[in-house]
Amino acid sequence: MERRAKPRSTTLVVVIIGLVITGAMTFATWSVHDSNEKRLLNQRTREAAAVLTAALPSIQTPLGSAAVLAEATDGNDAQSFQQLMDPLVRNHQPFVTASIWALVSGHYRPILTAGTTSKMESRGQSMIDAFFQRSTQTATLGVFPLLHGKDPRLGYSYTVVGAPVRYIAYAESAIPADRKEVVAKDSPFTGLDNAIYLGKREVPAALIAATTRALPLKGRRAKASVAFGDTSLMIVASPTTELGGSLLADLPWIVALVGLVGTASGAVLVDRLLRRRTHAEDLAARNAVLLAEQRSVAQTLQHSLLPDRLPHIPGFVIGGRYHAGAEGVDIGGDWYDVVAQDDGRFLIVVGDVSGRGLPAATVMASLRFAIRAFASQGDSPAVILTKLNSLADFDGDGRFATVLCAAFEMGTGEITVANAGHPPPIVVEGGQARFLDTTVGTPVGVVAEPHYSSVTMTLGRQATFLAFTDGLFERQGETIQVGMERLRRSSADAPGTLEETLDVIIEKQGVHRVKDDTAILGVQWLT
Amino acid sequence: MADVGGPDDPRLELTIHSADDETVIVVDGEVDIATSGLLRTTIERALEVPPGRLVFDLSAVPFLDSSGISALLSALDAVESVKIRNPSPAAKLVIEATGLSEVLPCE
Repeated sequence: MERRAKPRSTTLVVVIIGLVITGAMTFATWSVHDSNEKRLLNQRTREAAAVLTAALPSIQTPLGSAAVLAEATDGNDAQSFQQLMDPLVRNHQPFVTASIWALVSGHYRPILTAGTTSKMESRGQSMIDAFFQRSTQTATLGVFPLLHGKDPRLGYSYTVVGAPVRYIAYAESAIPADRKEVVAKDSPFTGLDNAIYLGKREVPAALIAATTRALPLKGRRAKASVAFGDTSLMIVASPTTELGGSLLADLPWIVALVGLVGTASGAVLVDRLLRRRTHAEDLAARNAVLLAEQRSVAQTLQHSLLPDRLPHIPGFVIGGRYHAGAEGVDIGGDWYDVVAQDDGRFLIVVGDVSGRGLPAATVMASLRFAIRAFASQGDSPAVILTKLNSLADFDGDGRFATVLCAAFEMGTGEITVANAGHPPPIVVEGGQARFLDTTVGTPVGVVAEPHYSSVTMTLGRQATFLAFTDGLFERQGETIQVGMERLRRSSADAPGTLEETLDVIIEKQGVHRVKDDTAILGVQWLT
Repeated sequence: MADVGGPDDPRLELTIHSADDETVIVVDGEVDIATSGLLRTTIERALEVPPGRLVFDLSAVPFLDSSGISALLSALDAVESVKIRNPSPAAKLVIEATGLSEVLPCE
């Protein structure tokens, strides 16, 4: 179950990382878009404010002319004044009224008027006097808010530069009662909602014009103030569209969408790969278990096939060693055996089935038990090998077995040896080691009717007889002659008891480093 | 003629020469437990169309073990005559030592 949970958690991690990256990228794109919009809005708002400033000369210039005229005619030339101002008030554009004001009996009063009555006159005299008094002291345009009521207006006053000031030119322009401002296309105001206030406070009482009734403006917005006569105008603007274009505005959404799709497909891919890997790992684990089982079965089988205890033969010491190949994966087909026969004889066998693995071990088993059966019937070594060959059926796959079979006479030390393709045994006697000259017949399982003959000789007292498989001497990169000679020397040098001798030979021959498996059987005659 | 050895195991190179009724497998390299499988499959390929006579050229075989012998013996059932040509001393020794001089005779 743990194995199954793993892919899901990994996929979850991929999804989380994907979402985090998508979120971060989306936020970054949105930030770029946001700062870009802010920058563009500020720039557009400053441009719009500059346009408002540009309106100033169209107010100031006619008022300047009227003031000069009044000074030049001492305020008496009503006809010229009418001629000058009539075009400017006739259509209520730019003014609804224009007048010349002068100080009469300590108060400012209109002395000449074009157009309708000025709204200024409806204000209190003290306020009027204060406004015009202030106007005489500055050369800039005086701006007076008359924004209350149903007929909102702005009043402008102007005096000629250079004292003493006697006449003040004054005009009023109308402001739409609803303050509705129509924005021309392709003007600096395009794409912006804006509200224009007189002064610096964003309050309804100071509103001059706006493109919308939803005031104050909400959302992303910018302010800019410009001087307007002796006061100032403030424009507050808010974009109605994406100033930087729709692509940049949509980019965060596009990034988010692409990120989500990428995350989803990444998660699916990772999930699939992990499932596939899990499957492969499961398979590998199952195979490893199977292999281990097979190896363990094979090793168990082989160890069960080798005699765990050799029979006790009076007057002889017998010892065997089996060493599995260094790689230890496949078992081999090497074996040794000792069989006591009835008539004062015993038989020793060392054999080697070609190939490795369970098939080799199985063949080895059948051969070993067949030999035991033949031996118990009292057959001689050569007869045993011949019978063995007729029994062997190796399916024509080239599998064969080499077998060395030797019968020992307990009383005399006489041995009879038959050999089916097996390495010859060694006899160690009095510090000398020699290979026994056997007649080598074909290995078991190769030809239909082989001929085996045996040789008979007598061992001296204290002689040691060693039979073994080719794993003991066969080494890469040298002929078997060289390997066999090295083994012969090792055997001659081996001192002491049989057990010690076997250990020394195995050590000197480096059996532990060899891939092939190795069996060795030693018989020492004591009497 | 087909080169069936090569990059798999640089220690063994096998070449099949087919002419008339005789097929020669030239074995060049060491034949042991690691390489004998290659020799075995090469023999199988050479015997797909069984020749009258199969010859193993063992002149360039510095090492031959029982698995190699086993591979050579696998040809016995499928073909009338199996011969050894110019065996190297190492190959000759092994064949003699395993009592196979008559089963795998030299030419």
